[in-house]
Amino acid sequence: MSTKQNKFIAEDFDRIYPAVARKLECLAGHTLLVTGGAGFLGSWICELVHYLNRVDKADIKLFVVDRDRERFAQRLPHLVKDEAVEFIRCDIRSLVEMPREVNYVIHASATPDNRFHASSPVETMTSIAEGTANALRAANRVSNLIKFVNVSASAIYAANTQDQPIPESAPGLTLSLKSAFAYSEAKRYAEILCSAARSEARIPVVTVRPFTFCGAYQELDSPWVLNNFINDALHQRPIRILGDGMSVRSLMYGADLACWMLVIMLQADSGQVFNVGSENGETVGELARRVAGCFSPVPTILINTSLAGHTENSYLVPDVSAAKSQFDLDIYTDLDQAIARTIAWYHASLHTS
Amino acid sequence: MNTRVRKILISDPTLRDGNHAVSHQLGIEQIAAYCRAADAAGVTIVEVGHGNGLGASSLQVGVAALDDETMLTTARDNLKSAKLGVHVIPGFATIERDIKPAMEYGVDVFRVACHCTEADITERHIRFCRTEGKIVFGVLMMSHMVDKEVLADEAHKMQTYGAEGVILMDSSGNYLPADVAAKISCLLDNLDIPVGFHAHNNLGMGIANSVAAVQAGAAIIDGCARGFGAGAGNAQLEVLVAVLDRMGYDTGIDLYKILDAGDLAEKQLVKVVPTISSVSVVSGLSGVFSGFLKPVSRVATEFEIDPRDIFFELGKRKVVAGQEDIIIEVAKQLKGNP
Repeated sequence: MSTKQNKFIAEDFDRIYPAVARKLECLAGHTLLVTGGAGFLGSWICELVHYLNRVDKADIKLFVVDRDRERFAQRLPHLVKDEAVEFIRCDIRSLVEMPREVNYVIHASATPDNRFHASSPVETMTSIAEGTANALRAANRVSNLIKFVNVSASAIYAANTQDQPIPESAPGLTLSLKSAFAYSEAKRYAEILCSAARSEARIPVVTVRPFTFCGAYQELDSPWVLNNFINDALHQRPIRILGDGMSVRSLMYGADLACWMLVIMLQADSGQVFNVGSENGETVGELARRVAGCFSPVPTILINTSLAGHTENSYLVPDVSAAKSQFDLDIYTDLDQAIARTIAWYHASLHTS
Repeated sequence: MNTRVRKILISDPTLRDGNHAVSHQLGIEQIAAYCRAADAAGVTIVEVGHGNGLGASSLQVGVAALDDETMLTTARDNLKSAKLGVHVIPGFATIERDIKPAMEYGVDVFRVACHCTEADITERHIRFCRTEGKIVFGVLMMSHMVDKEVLADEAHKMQTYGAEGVILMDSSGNYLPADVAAKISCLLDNLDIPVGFHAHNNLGMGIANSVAAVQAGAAIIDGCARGFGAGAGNAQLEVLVAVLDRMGYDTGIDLYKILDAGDLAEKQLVKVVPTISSVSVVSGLSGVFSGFLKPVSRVATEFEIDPRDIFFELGKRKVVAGQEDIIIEVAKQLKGNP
């Protein structure tokens, strides 16, 4: 579906790019390396770089590091043919060096899929810990490195009991030896490792903590709330909510995420930490209603589907005022549009498959 | 002060666990009659099938009188408001051969079960059922065999795979109330989804353990009419409903009608009302699955040895359901004929 896919993604960037074009100008002529380039975040970064080269003749060289060449080729077939893009097949735990011409690194390898974290906590931790160490060592040997962006996670924050957006200064998790915290603790370790590398080797590290996203390149059966709702609706079933629908989430669209990432990479100072996501929280029940409203006939919404009553509600919304004010960033795709675009993507994917 | 009455979801495996007690020989009329009675009483989930669940009918663990399709469609035709549930053990049950057809037969609730240390094997089954929009619970069997922290880890896996509740099974009736309270509390501390409990009565603790689970915060409790289930039976459903009602919990079940369902079960389903035999006590103490009772008794008779000795030896070997083959090996060893 490469042509159709190109068109779909280009529609998003055509809409957003004018708002960030000037902020991205200084990437022209540089070389970027993305680890985990076949994942959700990596794929969107690749698409944005491809767009900049095509539309603005930005002459950006892109190295994509990932262990899954087939996944990359299947997801981004148009990039396989792009001479500005070079795929490096490598498990991040085996990474030794990166091309000398690299100027920017976005270290985004590590799956956020909590099913994998639960089944394979050791691999989860070693991939993050060893992978980050390897990426830092390799980056340290690059002559003209300008910035190293460490993609951390919102999971490093302690459970939010305030029903308020979470700022970068919010308390972290209490140390726990439970394997359920393997991912969170590994991400926290990676942040400290980056901080140590910045101190010891003067690597210019910036850390971002992504929250909740939607859009192309997320699997329909991924364990995220919006995917589940869309999956139910696409299969003409009632939309099922485990709890009472009062948990709160915010969603940022993939194209917005890619723009934010590159702007932060280019403009942030070494040592800074930024939340990335949408600050516009909605209850899960409202998200379900918005998804339902995109379908005809409108699916019914079921709450408390476990039949066993109440589950704990949670509030997961970032405070992104730091990134917004420092870089003049905004939410370019509102929630309704993000949901509609995500549904359109899945619709097209299902028909193609 | 919170004056809201806490609701307890009652799941009724009479027609599944009870099938163990009659060597999986429940018939169409029995299933239909009991489903009508449980449905009329307001039972939330009626679980139906071979004792070991979907796709388990086999020479190794017993050939059922009816195939899954007949059992499930019969139940479906006789349930109006109650949900139809099945027990799913990956290995016995496969997605293509068993789960997809079960969905077509109208099953609402899939209880995906595994040995208490092997939640990893439930991922595909739980994910598939959730992706297909069904209600899915994870079930950790033989939960007495490991400590509460291990159970919390395994239950957490099931939650991440998509389970909407996790149920601890006391498959060999080994627990005392304090054990149950500690394990249920630990799970609740580590999960975001409801927790349940499935008792066996080997040490006479079926109701007491269920009450301990509820008091510790469990929201899903299993009970069988007349305690009809493997070995010494399960928590007796009618008693459970009455006790919970007296304690002020809301099960949504009509007492008279569930008592009627119990009477019907005794007349039409139960050949011998479960009692706590000497061997059942040993099964509970040794921590061996109650479903071993019949094959152990059979082998003990054949080899002319004390079944209690077999149970204690099986307990030392930490056998689990599906390892029934070992019974003969143990009997030979005890007989001095390895």
